[in-house]
Amino acid sequence: MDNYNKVFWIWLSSIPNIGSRRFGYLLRSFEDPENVWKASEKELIQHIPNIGRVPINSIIQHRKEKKLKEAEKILHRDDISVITIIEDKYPPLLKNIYAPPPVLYIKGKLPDKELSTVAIVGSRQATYYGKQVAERLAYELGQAGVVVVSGLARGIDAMAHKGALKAEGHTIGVLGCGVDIVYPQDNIKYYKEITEKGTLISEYPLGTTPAAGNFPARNRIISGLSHGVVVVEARQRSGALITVDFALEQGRDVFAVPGNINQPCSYGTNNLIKEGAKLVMSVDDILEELPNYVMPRRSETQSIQLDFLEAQVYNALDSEPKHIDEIGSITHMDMGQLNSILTKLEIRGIVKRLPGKLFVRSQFKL
Amino acid sequence: MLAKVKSAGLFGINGYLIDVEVDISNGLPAFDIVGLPDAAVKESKERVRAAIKNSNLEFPIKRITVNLAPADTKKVGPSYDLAIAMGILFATQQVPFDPNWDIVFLGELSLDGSLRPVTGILPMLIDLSGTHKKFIVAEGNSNEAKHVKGVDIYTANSLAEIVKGMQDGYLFNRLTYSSDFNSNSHLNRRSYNVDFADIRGQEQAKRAMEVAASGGHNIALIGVPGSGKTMLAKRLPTILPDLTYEEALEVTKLYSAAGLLGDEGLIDRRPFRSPHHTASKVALIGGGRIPLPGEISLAHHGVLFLDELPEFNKDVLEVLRQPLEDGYITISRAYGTITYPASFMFVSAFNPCPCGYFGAQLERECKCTPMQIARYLGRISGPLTDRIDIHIEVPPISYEKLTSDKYGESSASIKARVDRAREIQIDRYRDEGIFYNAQLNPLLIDKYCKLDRGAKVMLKEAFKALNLSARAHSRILKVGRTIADLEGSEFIKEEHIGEAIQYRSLDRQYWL
Repeated sequence: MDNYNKVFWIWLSSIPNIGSRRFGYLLRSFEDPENVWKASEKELIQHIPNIGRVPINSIIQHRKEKKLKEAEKILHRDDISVITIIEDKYPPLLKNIYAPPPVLYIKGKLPDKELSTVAIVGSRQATYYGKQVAERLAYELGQAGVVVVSGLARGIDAMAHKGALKAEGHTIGVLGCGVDIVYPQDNIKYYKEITEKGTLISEYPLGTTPAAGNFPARNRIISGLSHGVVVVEARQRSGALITVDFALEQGRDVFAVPGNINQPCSYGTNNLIKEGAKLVMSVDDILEELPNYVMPRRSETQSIQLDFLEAQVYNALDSEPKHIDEIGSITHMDMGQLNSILTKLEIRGIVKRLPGKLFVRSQFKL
Repeated sequence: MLAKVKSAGLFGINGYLIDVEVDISNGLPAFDIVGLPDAAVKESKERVRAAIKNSNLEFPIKRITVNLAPADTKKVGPSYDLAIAMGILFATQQVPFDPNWDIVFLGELSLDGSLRPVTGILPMLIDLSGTHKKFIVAEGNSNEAKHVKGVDIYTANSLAEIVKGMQDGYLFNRLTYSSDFNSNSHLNRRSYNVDFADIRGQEQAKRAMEVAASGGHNIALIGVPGSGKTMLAKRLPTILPDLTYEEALEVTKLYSAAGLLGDEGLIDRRPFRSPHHTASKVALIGGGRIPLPGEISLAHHGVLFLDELPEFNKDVLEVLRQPLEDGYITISRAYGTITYPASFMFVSAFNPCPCGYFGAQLERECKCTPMQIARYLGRISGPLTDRIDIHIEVPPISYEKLTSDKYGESSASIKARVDRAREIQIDRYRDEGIFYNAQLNPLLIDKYCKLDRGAKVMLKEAFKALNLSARAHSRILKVGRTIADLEGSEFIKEEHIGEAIQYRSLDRQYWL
């Protein structure tokens, strides 16, 4: 498709009141957005009587040469590419959902189409457990060559991207705002890194601000891009559960990570398991459900060399964060010594310090 | 008839001599005071008149002029009452007067002729003690006055008592110099009413406080509400080295000038000041029409504790920067420019996030977004956090810990280690004009913070692996130096640097 045509796609898709559904109607009636641009008001009403007055007025109002110029300018940008639904590059899984986005704005490059894709979603206010699991699953999926999709929100989403990036796997962030807008600001690090090494996708025109209403719609793309959706932590009425609804509607697999039944963050996920979602205890639980996926070799875990005192401290730690005072009372070491051993273990990457001067065993170096 | 009497005034914490000249001549009865008196000095006319009358003496119905020299400095307060009254009595020859007498009179009169104590006695006496040897002060000031040596100080309860003494030719109650203290030796201080032994658990916080006390490092205590931050801070003075005699005098002078001395006489405990977070700039650094010392000066040689640091007004905190660096504060007002010492350990406490539960491991979880946390901590400016060497994360204390029978180590035994570390530092910095590690400037850090091989490697690796910010570098070296001193080690070793790194919580990337 040439740029001349694409300009009209961009134009039509960025008109307010023309969503994916109405875009679909128009496309079926007029075959090409350029015809919509050329059609008279009468033709519009004739061809699509069920579309209503308001969107038609919007179309007429937005028929300005200026809009086309703007669209053309976007096409000339190096950092952003625009893909329409009729192109081959368009993600095949996404094409087959209900009301697929007609136009995708993309930063970074799309992954190989053959790769399996899994979405990891969950609460923005996650516990340390949830974040840790999300990061680990994403890391292991990344290592296994699976593309990890998420929504670049805080909490679980951010950790999913982080894990995938750490494994140097491919990750896709689906945004609820223009692909040129960083939201939330605290994820700017991941935003930049994904731009370089992964893909940022949005159906919204450039400059769209993150309105609350955009996010549920964004969720249908997250599940639409994926073979399966893993929910790590979700409260009773979490946005992650909207993604699950879309996934079920689109016929994708739903996975859930179980959690503490006393934790409000685990209510949604435990409930999903009760209702039949697949329980995830390790990455293999996900991988074995993926179609056409061949289990690759697992890298051997390397053993670590610790001296006597280091081993004592390391053995006092586990995956639950412990305060340094607690470690001190287990090991009976004085605080000066303990502090310095912890620094050593931290530098080697086998122990991690968390806010509140809490320490855990780190999961990746082992 | 003219009489000249000596008195003293106070400028900041410095005393200076004031000549009170009284002239009595014939003419219409009048009573004028010249020499830039303020309201309290002008009112002394009424007190002096009534006091003389009520002491069964005669107040002359003549033209009285009083000059307070030097005439170009503003005179404040009621401390010249006694000198003015004595001048009038000398001039009317009701009391024999010898111009060779070199007596400095200090005291406020009450209407019945009794003598009241005045503020600032100690600084005035100390500063005049070089040139003047005889002083008469109110009995109420004797607690303070007895700490000045090399002078004769006489106390009296009333004007009548002084007059009688002078008429009889001998002077009444001579105050003996309190010889409890020797110059340079440490004071045998009274005990504090708090002790580190009161605190159960919190082992790492106590260790960090010990390091901080040893090197004079400023501290930030970070923890959930109710975790014991204030309790820890209050006990910091108990492990600091005892005040020397000179330091005690300096502190007492400040309190005397501020009129806060009470009955204590010499202040021999390190002060602990904790102004509320609604405090104004002036409350903190000092000021007023006649600039008085603020909280930072009242915390001189002690601890300034600011609880809920981010709640303080931002520009109030900014004014702390300069005194934190210099150890004194200069305040300029129309009345004059005064410099007060303000060398203190700065201890601040705050919550880790607006809701207070970030990283707390409690049933209650933190609901703050990273942006909110960044904004909250952002209220404390970078230049201010730059002056804080040690960050202590204080965990919430569990019920089991609180009720356990095990008491902590006592302040006295911690202090013994601190004292040793301080001695090493004083010895090392003999020729540098500083006393402890926190005062090291970049040049001196290069000179004195020598790392051994292992420490060098560790520091380099830590910066790479732990995402520490660059500003942490010199702080880690200084704190490492202190930890090495606590161990009596000449070089800073790997384990010292390792411990110091753990005291830099706020530099960790996870906070933002």
